[in-house]
Amino acid sequence: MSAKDKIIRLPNKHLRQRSRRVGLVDPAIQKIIQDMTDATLDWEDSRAHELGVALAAIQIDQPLRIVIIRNNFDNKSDRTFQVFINPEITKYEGDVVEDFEGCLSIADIYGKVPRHEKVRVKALNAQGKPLRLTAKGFLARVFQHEIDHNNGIVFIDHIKDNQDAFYKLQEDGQLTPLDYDKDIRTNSLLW
Amino acid sequence: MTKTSEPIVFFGSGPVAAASLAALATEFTIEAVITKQSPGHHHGPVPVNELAESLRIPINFANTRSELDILMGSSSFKSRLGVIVDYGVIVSAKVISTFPLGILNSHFSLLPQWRGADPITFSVLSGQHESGVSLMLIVEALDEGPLLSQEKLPLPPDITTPELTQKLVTLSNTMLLRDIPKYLTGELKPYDQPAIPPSYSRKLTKDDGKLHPMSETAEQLEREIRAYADWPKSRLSLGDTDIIITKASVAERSGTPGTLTAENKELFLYCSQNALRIERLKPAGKREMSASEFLLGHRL
Repeated sequence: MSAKDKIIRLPNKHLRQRSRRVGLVDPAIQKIIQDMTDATLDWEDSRAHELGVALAAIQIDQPLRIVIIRNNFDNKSDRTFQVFINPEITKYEGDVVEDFEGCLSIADIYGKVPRHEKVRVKALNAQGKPLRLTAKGFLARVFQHEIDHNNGIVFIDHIKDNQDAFYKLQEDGQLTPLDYDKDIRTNSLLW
Repeated sequence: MTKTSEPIVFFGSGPVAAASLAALATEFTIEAVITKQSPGHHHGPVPVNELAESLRIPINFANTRSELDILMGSSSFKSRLGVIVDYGVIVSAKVISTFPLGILNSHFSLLPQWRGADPITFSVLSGQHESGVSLMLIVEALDEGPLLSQEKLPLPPDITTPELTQKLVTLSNTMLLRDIPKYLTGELKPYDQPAIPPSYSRKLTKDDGKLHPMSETAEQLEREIRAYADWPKSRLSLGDTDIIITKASVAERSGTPGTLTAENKELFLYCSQNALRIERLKPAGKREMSASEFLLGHRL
């Protein structure tokens, strides 16, 4: 079994469950973090036109509030991540902007999702030390997407009534609009 | 969460372009390929075209600078960066400026050495011991743009143009895959080409393939044979037939420049300095053979 096979995908119901807080950052938690990193990179290596930029623990079927976020969103050769345990958004700021995002748990579908431009986050780092930060732009989007996972929300839930927000990733890497009525609304894999 | 990798637009037409596109397509989303239309009388393969089709990348054609201006004026690509390899069309400043991050070119020499159309052949011809690849952001002036990176490659003394091309393609692909992401993220900043006197290469003509033993040294001719191995090749007229010399070495001996002699089953062409020992050759209409095979059937 390769590392990426640990990743669960819709219609797996676990993706719509809330994850629980992490108490102590012990070796078992460290192992889960390592598995998350391995799964993301292994998944990326199997994909021609995508980067795995972040993962939440529930995506490898561990219902714990752990998120890993890539240090570089554009360079595949930078394979390092930052760990955020029990992350919480303490404040939303800025405008709501739409941009494309995809999910390792939803194959080949991208969505134009409205997100806040800026968020303040508090969390614990990999050593269990508290930290606070302000995230802007794409990083703010990533935090909102991943913290949603901890709460059992996937990105398509935000756009489920928006006919023009769904795109398919083609084999050549282009995103083309999906037929909402045919591919999305009645797709039992998604809802 | 996932994101799609940054799209790029690829410009290229020759076989080297195809090899570069194949590598780029493994890592990047190629938004479109811009290439030359093969002329109507051309029946050979059009590698970039075929590859783009098999990868299902949209293809656009522009054969000249003005056609390219029109094409780019009427297209709206979302790519921030263009990549150009082995295209053979001069790109106007207007087209370059349609890409916020410019157009990146992989040039097969250590710029400012061998600017121009055929850096590889001229590297072999010059007898230099080192060549390499430069990644450059193109400007309208020929090969004068700022560099993003440069890597050297040692040249063995017996290297031919096709062999060197192969090595440089491999090096170039490694650099493109490594450095484009760094440029996209702003990690890699363009810097000026070294302030040393530039040299210039040019497109070869069929006439370049004629050997001139009267005026050139054996050392120069031996380099020409390696440099022109693919095209136009190195020819010598023997009375009524032509031969193509495919392998030779320099012999330290002197004779009347321009004379061809057979000595002990070896074939020598005396040059303005030293002699060329012709080791392998291809007489017109025949297969390639060794000098001794040739001498069995041919009286000088």
